[in-house]
Amino acid sequence: MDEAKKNLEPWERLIENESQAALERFRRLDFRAALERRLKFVPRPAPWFRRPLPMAAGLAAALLLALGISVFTSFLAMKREVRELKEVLMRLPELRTPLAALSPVPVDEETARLIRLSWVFRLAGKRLDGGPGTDEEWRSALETAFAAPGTPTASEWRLRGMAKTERLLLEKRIRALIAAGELQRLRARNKSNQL
Amino acid sequence: MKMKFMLEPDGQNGGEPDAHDGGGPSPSAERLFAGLLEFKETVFRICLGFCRDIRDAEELTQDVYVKVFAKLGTLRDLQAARAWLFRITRNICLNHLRRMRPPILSLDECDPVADSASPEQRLETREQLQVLKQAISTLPRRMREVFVMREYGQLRYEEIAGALGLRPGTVMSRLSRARTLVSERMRSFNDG
Repeated sequence: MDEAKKNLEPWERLIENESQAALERFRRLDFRAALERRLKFVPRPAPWFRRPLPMAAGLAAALLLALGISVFTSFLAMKREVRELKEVLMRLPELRTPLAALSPVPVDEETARLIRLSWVFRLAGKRLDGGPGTDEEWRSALETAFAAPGTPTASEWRLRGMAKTERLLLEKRIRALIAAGELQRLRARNKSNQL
Repeated sequence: MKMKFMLEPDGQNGGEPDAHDGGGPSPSAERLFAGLLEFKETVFRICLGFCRDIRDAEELTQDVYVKVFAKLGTLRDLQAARAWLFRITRNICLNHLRRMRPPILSLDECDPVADSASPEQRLETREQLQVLKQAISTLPRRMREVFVMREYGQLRYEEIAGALGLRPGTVMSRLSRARTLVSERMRSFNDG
């Protein structure tokens, strides 16, 4: 130790002497008593159950809350859709409203209904993926059905404002109609009419 | 009123679970605090090295322990708490320096010169001390904190590395550069 002290640089010795002198004064001070006096004004550390949540726990709680809200909102939306669907089902007979008057060419009620359904379907921007009938077929079906230039305007087809659930329901009905060969039958009939 | 932390340190706090549910620190936290109080002189020396004023160093040492006390609930084992203790010592000192610029150089409070020294020796030592303090206070911050912790706090490289979140190699290289700078400045003063 003494050997090590001999090898000290002058400034190291200076630091050592300064520190020792300061420490002597510090040791004379009743540090604990002085600290006690100050700690009287410091709030006691709270027990663990009263401490604020760590950030990670807070974040996890917020995520869980957000997830819960999301699930609950989805549940409400599903309930609403089911209710709307029921309303649509209740109003289905109204879809049979004659559209012949609105069509630029005379069509029978059944054709008008199908056209309206297909038009609604197109408005919904759906494709019959994997099923019978492509966009082109639908367009062709419409043109054939009208057998006249021009397409119906939005005001003519009042169904633009239909709810999504209603459109989806109609899409299902159209699929069923196509599957049953209804479209082909219509096409053939219109063709024979033209001839 | 006796404070609870005045318990004798037993040095056996190894992160045992905190089963104390009442108000105030648990017995294990009190033991930990008492254990940390054993380092008060090291903390004081580090404060002295940073702030260059003995009264401020005393105040800052108390500040450090007040902060430790306020955070007692978050501490678990003595080993980690020691590194944290030195880190907050550094932080409190740096905050103090930021508030107190320019640093107060008080040499009257503690005189490192022996009483038997002649007035000339006394004057010369004081001048050297003044230059040394200037040399330390003008070191870049990163070097200064390593230098103070080593030369004043007498911490080991690993302890400094733990407190500052550095690798021991980085501590050594910074310390070496700081020592060279201080030596050069002291030599140029002595030569001049």
